[in-house]
Amino acid sequence: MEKLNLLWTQYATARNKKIGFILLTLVAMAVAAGAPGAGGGYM
Amino acid sequence: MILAWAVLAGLLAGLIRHGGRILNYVAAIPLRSAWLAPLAIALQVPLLRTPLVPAQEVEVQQILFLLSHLLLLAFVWRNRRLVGIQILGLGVICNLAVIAANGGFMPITPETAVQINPGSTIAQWPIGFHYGYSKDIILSQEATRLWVLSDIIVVPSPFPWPTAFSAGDILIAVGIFILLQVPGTLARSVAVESQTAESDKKRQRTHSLSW
Repeated sequence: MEKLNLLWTQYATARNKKIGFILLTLVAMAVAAGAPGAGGGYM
Repeated sequence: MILAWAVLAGLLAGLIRHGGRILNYVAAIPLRSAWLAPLAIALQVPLLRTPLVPAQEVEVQQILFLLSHLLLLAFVWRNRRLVGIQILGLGVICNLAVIAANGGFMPITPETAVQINPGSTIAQWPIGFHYGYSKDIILSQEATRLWVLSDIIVVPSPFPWPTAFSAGDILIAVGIFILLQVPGTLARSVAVESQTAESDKKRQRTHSLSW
């Protein structure tokens, strides 16, 4: 747990959080805007 | 979901081109109203969780799906200064055009459904049914309006996730990829714009004070 806290304080900087937020937004846009038909549509 | 790989591809290409600096570039992408994207997904979840059923049985999910496009268009409009978002926006418009022209779903032909579901037969894909767990409706090619914009680009088996894409999907993936390639340049141009606007304001203020 302590190590986890250490990692969090080390890497969860404001910049890294912003990067994560931007990348998640782009993933969300890809999922929401795209309409691909994938295999498995009858299961 | 497969389009989300465009983000990873864009990041990898950016990493190769710019090294570790890509993270600074990504952090500098001036995205506005980012909350609209996850909210759009939330509206689409009911449709994405619906199995193969007649399209008439998913009217509520369909309305929510169409509403989600208003949020997507708003996101594109708010971020229209970014080149990648302009391309992505074109993809959204292409998809929306074909969806609107075909009763609120993305059309897919039974033949394409067979191609991406190896082992299935055309009889398993009844016309007029919602293609399960997707945004698609099964329609024959003749009955599809704007067929060229529908899910016709097939990546068949042995690809691990056989998929059918539309031209709009490709534009969306390209837009995201490009956004991650030149974010630094765009961010700089936006920064220069805002700096110029700021100095203009200062100049005006000084000018009005001197009078």
